[in-house]
Amino acid sequence: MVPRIFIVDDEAPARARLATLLSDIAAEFPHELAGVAENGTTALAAIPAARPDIVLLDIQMPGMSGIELAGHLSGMEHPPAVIFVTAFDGFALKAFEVHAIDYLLKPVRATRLADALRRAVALAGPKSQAQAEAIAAAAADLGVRRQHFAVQERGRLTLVPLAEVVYLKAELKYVTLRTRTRDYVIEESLLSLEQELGERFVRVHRNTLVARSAIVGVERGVPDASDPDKGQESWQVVLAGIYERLQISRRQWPVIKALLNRGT
Amino acid sequence: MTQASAANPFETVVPDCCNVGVVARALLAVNLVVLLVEMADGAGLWGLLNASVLLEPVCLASMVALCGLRRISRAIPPWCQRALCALVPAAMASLVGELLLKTPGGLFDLSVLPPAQGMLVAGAFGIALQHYFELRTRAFSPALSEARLQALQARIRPHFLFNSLNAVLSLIRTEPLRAESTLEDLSELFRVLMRDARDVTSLEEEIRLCRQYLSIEKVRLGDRLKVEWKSGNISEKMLKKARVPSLLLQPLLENAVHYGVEAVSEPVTIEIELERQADRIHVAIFNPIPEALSERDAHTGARVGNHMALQNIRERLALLYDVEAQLTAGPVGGRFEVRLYFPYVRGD
Repeated sequence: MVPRIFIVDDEAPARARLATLLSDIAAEFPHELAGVAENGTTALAAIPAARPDIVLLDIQMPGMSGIELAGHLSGMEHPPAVIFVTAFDGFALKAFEVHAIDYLLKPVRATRLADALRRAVALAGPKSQAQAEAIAAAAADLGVRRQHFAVQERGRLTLVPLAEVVYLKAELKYVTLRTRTRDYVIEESLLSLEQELGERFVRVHRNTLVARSAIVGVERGVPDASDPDKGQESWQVVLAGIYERLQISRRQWPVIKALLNRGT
Repeated sequence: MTQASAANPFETVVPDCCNVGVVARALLAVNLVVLLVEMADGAGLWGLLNASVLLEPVCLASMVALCGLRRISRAIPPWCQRALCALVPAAMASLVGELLLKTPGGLFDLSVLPPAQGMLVAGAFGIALQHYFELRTRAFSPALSEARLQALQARIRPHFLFNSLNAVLSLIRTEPLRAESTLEDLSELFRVLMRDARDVTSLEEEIRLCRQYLSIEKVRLGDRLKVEWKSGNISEKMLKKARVPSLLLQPLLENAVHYGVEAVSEPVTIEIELERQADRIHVAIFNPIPEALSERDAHTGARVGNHMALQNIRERLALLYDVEAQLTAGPVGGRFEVRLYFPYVRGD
């Protein structure tokens, strides 16, 4: 089967140019165009069904940046190889070089495109994990923080804006993401989420991160059954828009108290 | 310093007394010194008020005279010009003193300052201020401010150049004519960009350049970019006549496109309004503020970048127009608004 290629770029002429170049190199690099998208959101909606092997990805796009999009793509079940395409982006290119991520400079030459596609084919499959780590590291270097969670549900990707997340709670094997309207299941570790989103979320318990903006106050709660010091007074977080209360561990209580005092 | 050429034999050392900034500084300096002297005498503010009957007319009349003299200053050797800067205020002091003596009621108590002494003080102020402004001009000497201007001159974003070239490449096979005109626009834009930073052009030319710039962006951004021009009370003739430094407006539009249009998926309209206000020209540029300034520029620092671009333009205006040009920028009612005011300088 020939590799399937997907193009993501916000500028129509840039998409057209890549498509032209792809057809020019069709003889030396047989492939199939799996689709095009003009921004991160539409790309995430189309890519799971289009099942591309390689995504040609612009970095500077409105809404979701190419780097954030690449992060979401690498969380997919069959992540495609990603080749970044950019006109000029000094900082990003430095980070890509450090982490050995492939990129192309606009205007792209047909020979360079063919070379990059060959390398991407070699990288696909078993090496996708290495690519995911490299992209995550580059994103961290560049200070690109995700604005969305891409949640996989029955083969589809749903985007949940970070601003809608009320809390993240670690269950046995996965993490529950709660918004005001419903909850989702994501496969990430609470520890890495805390490291990435520490500015917006605060840990209230060993297994819970709460959006700082969603904390309305605290109230006395029923003693925690899992607490070794049963009968000790315990506190719960009161959340905006959700009736549910979240247990505050004794260890985190001083942190939360300080946070609330600062707020008033 | 510079060798005098045959046509313009001498350097001008008379301060530019036609400039509002110079006039304001001179008035402030003179009044401050007199206030200090009066305070030392124990007369304080009242003393200053009393003295200002003589002070203000002398200052203003001297500056009007020097403003006129400056036009012929190139025909006068510098030492003569410096002497004139002392003599004109002295003459004005004697003239105004004479007039005040004739006024009945004795508004000003001239016994405090006999005419001869008054002329001396006025002359001293004149030469001191001339010296200050000459030193100041040297500090911002042509070579220095030239370099400063060059450094401040809006440089095109590399991102814009490569994306535009890429867009042209995409047009060559499908729309060769459009590709041609886009390359022509691009080369004209670059010709202006590579010109001397002190180049002066007509407002009409500058607007044409802005339109060319916007049409390049239109190729790239398609329907996402819409532009509305409004020129209320400015006539075609005035556009031709008005002199402006080249690239006065283009960087402001580039800013609006970069932060207002590129960051948004939906179509965005940039509005540009030109208006004449007495002897000033007012240009306003509006663009909607992107809903959430996304993280796409987190690593390039969009807000910082925007601020720097505007600061750059502001400094350039200060070097070119001193205090006679203003640039304000900020969010107003959901839109980002940049307002530029600069003097209407007529050319041939």
